[in-house]
Amino acid sequence: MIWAKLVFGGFGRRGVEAVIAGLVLIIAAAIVAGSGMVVEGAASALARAERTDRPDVVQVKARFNRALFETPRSGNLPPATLPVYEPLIDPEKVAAVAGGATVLARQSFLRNVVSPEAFLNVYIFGIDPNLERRVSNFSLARGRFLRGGDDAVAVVDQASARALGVDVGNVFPVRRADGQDLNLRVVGILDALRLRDPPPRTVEAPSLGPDTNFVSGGVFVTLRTSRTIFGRETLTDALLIAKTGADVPFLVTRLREEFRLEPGVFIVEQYSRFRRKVHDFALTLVLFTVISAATALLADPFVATLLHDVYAERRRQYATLIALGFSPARGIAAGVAFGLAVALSGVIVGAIIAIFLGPKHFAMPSLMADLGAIEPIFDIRVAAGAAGVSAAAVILGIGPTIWRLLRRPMAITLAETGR
Amino acid sequence: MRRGLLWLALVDLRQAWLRAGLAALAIALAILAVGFFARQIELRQEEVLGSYEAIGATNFIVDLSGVADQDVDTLAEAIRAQVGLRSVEAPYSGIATNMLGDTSFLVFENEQQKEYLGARTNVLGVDGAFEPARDYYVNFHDLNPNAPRRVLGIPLHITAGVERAPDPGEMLIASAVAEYVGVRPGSEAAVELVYAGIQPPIVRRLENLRLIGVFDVAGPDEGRFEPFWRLAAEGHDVLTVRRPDASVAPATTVPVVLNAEALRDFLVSVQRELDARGLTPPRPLQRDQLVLRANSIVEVAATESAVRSLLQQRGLTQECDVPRAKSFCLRLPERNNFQAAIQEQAKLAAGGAFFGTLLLVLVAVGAAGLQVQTVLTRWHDYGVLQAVGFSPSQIIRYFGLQIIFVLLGSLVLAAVASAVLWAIGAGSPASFGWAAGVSVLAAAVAALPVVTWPVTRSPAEMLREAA
Repeated sequence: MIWAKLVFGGFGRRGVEAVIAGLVLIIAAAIVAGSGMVVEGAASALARAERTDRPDVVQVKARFNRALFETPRSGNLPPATLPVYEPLIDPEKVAAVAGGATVLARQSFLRNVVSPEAFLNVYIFGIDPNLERRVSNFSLARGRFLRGGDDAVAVVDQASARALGVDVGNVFPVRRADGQDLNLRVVGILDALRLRDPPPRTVEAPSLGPDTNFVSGGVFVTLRTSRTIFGRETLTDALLIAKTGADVPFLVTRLREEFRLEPGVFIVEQYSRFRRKVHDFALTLVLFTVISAATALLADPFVATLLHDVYAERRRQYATLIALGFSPARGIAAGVAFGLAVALSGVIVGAIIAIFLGPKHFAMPSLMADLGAIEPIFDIRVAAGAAGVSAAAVILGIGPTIWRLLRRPMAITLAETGR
Repeated sequence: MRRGLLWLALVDLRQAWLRAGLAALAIALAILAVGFFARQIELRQEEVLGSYEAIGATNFIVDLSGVADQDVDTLAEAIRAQVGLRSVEAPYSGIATNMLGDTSFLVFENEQQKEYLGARTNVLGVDGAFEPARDYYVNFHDLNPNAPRRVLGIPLHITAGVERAPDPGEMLIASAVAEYVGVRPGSEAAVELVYAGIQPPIVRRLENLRLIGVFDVAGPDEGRFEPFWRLAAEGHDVLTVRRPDASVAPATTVPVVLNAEALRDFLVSVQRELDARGLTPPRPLQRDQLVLRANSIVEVAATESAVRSLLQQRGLTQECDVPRAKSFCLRLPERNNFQAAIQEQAKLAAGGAFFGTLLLVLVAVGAAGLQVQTVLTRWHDYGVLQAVGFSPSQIIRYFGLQIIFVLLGSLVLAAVASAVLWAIGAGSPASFGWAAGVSVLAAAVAALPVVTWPVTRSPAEMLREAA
């Protein structure tokens, strides 16, 4: 009880100033939280667009293999497995320039089986199962997806499974580069898949999306298995995931430099297109973020000045406590507790005002990206921003008082009448 | 008495110069912040509008119906001469005329055979003023008769090679096609122009076209093209393999861009061939679209009216639902048009107003808070002044003068800082004037009422409280 009195009692006329400081802090916190919510909502909309468009992904692919046209129609050829793109990509070269980017190596093939009655084309993709799921979507109907250590097992989409006449647990042969067949055991069936940057569809093959121009079905195996089938390490294509979108231009430059002597290798990036699309939105977001930050910075001096006077008035009381035998830390603790109470109440009430009185929707320009009206978001970062502004104001307000209590002779402080 | 009050206020301020100076500094910072943001919002609005213009927001389309091909050029010339426009384009589009382009590149050859990889796409014939990034428009009704008559701009962003319209003997292709075949600018290609309006189609082969650039297609079809492989043996095409579902009519908006002359000549020869066979083409073999670019976004509406008047003077009637002979329709492109650009620009202004208002609220609340602080500090002085006979209105004027001096001081500080900012190219006098006006007004409106608080209390009570 005595501590409550020490912290909050005896303000007198200065109590009004403390209340005003608290009110200013509440409004400052509300303004900072309100503007922060808009900025956070806009940043979230931009992040959603990034997740859809994936501007951080760079594709390295070789030119298309013309044999894919030739073989399927030639007839009476033995079963063959052809790379979709010419295998010109040395994985070590890609890894050498990747820097901090994640490399998703791929070997993409077309398996062509000609029999006296019919022929069947199936696409086979050698992938890293763990990394590939970061950019492509696989929906399992039954069974399981590939695992890193898998060998000679496959996950097949429903259309390809039907064409091959296989189900989970069955095996089917794939011709290896050395002319021997490799039996692949089916461990999972996919009912939907969206492969990031699939190759163009040039031949009739089982497909989950028959109207698409790109391959939308096939057999997925681990890179280890595909290397066994292909008989070499060289990749047909690869995806690199940059740490951030901003790293993409540098990554692309390095890749182009690395493959400058290989005219058949192409580096494809989405980052430029994405930036063009969201240029207006991103520009506005930067501007509003700066305004929001400046508002927060401006709020602090106003609140700190008010709190400073409140603490100046209390300085003599804190000095008296220390003179009575309280340790300096305990003497100052009353002031710190008061500051925390003001800051906390300011943040909580300010945040409530921002949440309930702030705009429910906010329009940002996005002509090409069409991101629509954004919804302001109150999250941990907004809360931290408002709390940071309040804490900074309290620290700036109490700082001179603590300095005087600890550094100046106690007698001078006790002789002060406030101010 | 007024002079006395003024002197008293000045002396008082001089004694409490630190507090007054800090308050003036805080308000000066607020003025600078509001002015800086007002200027930045203006600049960003200009930048956003500029970027919209760069992708074609100043463009609008004139759909023509029943106008002979040679008259389209005459119309375009007349519009160019009589209406202030930045450009008038009359491109040849394969979609409108049932033309396709089979672009193929040699990828393997030996003594016996040659192999080509290629792509079937739309074909676009343009003249020298065509800007790929903003002058290509497709009316989806031409692709699908059930679709509404609306035009969509499809920017072709050059990613490699030169950014200009092709001359005769040159071409531009989509980057998706270039990567698929494995070619870069400088390669040579053959383009087969295919008129698909009759069966068997009429074909003309253009050899040795130089690829001068590749572009990214931004639009619904993006990398959509129909690949094919061609085998030639001993100088003759022997086999062309296409995907089983390959189309025989224009099915993609992705174009191969050629010089207009090549398509004009081809269409003339097709017309001659059809005449010789006594056939009528299902669609007229003529251009049906003018792409007009106004000087700026704000001039588009006026330019539209001028073009409408000119076309009506030349005997064309405006008919948008069911085009008739000798009719036209002015269409704004979907999404990226001047109206949308102005709307999007207004969003930036509205957002800026929201943040600017928050900033002004903070200035007002902060100024009021500082004034409360001043009043509490001077609580005893209020009591003394009242006790020695100052009337409430005199006290209000006395402290009001102090507020005005503080605000004037903040204006001077802000003006000095702004002058430095103008010198380095940031800020402008107009934005400073506006910011100073609204900030000072907000601060004054919030601070002045606080001055009236002490005069409502009795002098004895105030002196007792301050003791």
